[in-house]
Amino acid sequence: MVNDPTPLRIGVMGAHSTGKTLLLRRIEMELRANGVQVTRTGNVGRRAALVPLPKMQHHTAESTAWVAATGIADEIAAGARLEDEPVKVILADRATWDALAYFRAAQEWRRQPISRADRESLYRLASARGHYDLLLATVLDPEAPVMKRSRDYDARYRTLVDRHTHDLLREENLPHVRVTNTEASYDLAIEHALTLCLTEAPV
Amino acid sequence: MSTPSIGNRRPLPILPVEQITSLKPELADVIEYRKSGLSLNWIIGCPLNCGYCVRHLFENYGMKVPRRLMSDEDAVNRLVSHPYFRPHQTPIQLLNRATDPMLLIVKPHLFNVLRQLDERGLTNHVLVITRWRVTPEDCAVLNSFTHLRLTVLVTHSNIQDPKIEPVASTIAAKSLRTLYERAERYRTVLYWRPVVPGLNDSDADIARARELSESAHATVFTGLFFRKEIAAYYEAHDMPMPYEETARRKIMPEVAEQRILAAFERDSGWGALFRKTSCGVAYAHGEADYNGHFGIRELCEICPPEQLARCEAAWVKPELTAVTRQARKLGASGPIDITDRAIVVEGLDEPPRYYLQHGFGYQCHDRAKPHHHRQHGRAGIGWAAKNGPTAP
Repeated sequence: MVNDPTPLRIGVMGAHSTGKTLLLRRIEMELRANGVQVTRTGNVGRRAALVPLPKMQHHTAESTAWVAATGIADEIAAGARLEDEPVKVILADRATWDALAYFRAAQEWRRQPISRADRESLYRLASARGHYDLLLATVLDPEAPVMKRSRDYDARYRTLVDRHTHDLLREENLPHVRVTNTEASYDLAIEHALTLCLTEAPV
Repeated sequence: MSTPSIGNRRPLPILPVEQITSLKPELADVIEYRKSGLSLNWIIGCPLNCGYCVRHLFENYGMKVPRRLMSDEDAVNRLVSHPYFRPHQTPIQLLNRATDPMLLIVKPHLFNVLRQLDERGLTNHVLVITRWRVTPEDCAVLNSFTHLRLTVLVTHSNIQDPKIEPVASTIAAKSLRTLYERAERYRTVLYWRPVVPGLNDSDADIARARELSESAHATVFTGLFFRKEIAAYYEAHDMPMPYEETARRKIMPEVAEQRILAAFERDSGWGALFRKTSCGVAYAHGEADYNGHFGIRELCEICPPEQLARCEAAWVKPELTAVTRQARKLGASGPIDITDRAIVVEGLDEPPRYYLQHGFGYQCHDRAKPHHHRQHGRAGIGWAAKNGPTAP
């Protein structure tokens, strides 16, 4: 893989305020400490709101397509960024499948079914880039306090996102690492990332 | 064992000249004389994102990938040929300003410079400060230096807010234990900082420090540098402001110090505790403090009796003529006094003052920036008498 210019992709998905960004920031820190050129994407949700597009339990098929497509575009841009050294690892703060889990949860929250056309197009989009080299899925801890609550915050919706995240991973048979809200689980996820990147992307 | 040089890893690139010239001049200058020693910083850039990092002051916080400013050999030559460097006497600090020396990509260069200094037969104190991982293999390298008086200080805060302290404190705790269990030629200090009231001075935080102090040759506690550049970062990132004001010196409020000292006095299980870095380093090596803090007697109330005896024996008020001769040579302008606490000068910046201080083993103060009673080296923030009674 030394001469392969394609960067490794590590994605994270899971309900909001379950530590996705924190986990990726730690992985980013660890990789840089090991001399690996790494780029992290993120803030897709905030940018969606600026468009403005509906968020959270108000997600539509359109807003979901925008989030997934923007995530894909961000990943491509991150890999193409001109640095003094090529980017070896892309950390996707919200893997493309994440948008789909949020949409499924929003439909259930509104008690609306997903049309077959929407389902097919969104699944095609989410899987367009193939598997991540490592997919991390955070698990909601109902006991943990929610630090940042947006205006749209709804506890039931957050629980639904968590359930749909893990249902989706199971249904699509996506290889992933579950990350619970414990230091040991974080450390294990970081270890997975380091093992992958330091083996596959030697500096 | 033989000490490694760069090993199989590619050496860190040296920044092109045009990039070095665009840095803040203070950052591009690889040597800075600080209170704890002549500090050599030939590598800049750090991925660790500590919210309170002093790199904010150098407009370097955004540089996440370490790079060298010069070769390791040039860095060593620059250090030993510095006008303030005195073999066997000047304390040295390595990479304590703009990176962490134990990052995997940085430490081969740290070891390389340590090896070069050691091969010169230098016995100077060398301070290395880290919050990152230290392995048993690293300890073997650190034990291999035969001349240098080497101290590894492990920064541990126990601050839980990941925006402020993104590096898990468990990493530092493990490093400290690894270092302590294997220490033969070097010493290790628990650097408990920055202590901020309400953030990391709970009973549990103090109990954690007490537990870790057993895995260190000494423990030093200290406060937070909170300058306007750091405050601006906190504000921009929606982080809780630790203080309403900023200050030139470190902020260590009285209430936090009292909580720590009360816990220290209650429990005999603590390792030796110090307020000043050089006091802890000197104690760890069984020597008197090289900064002459014994003159600031209220700092010594928590010191072990054997350390007090060492410092008392070594602490000698210097001759005014010798001090005056050296101070004038360095550019001192006004009257020069020697009190029972310190040499007091005018017109000298910190570097020449530290040169005098380390040379005479006696505190050297600027008349314009007096240290107040019980607030030595600290800002007035968080003290009832904000500027305290001026020290005699």
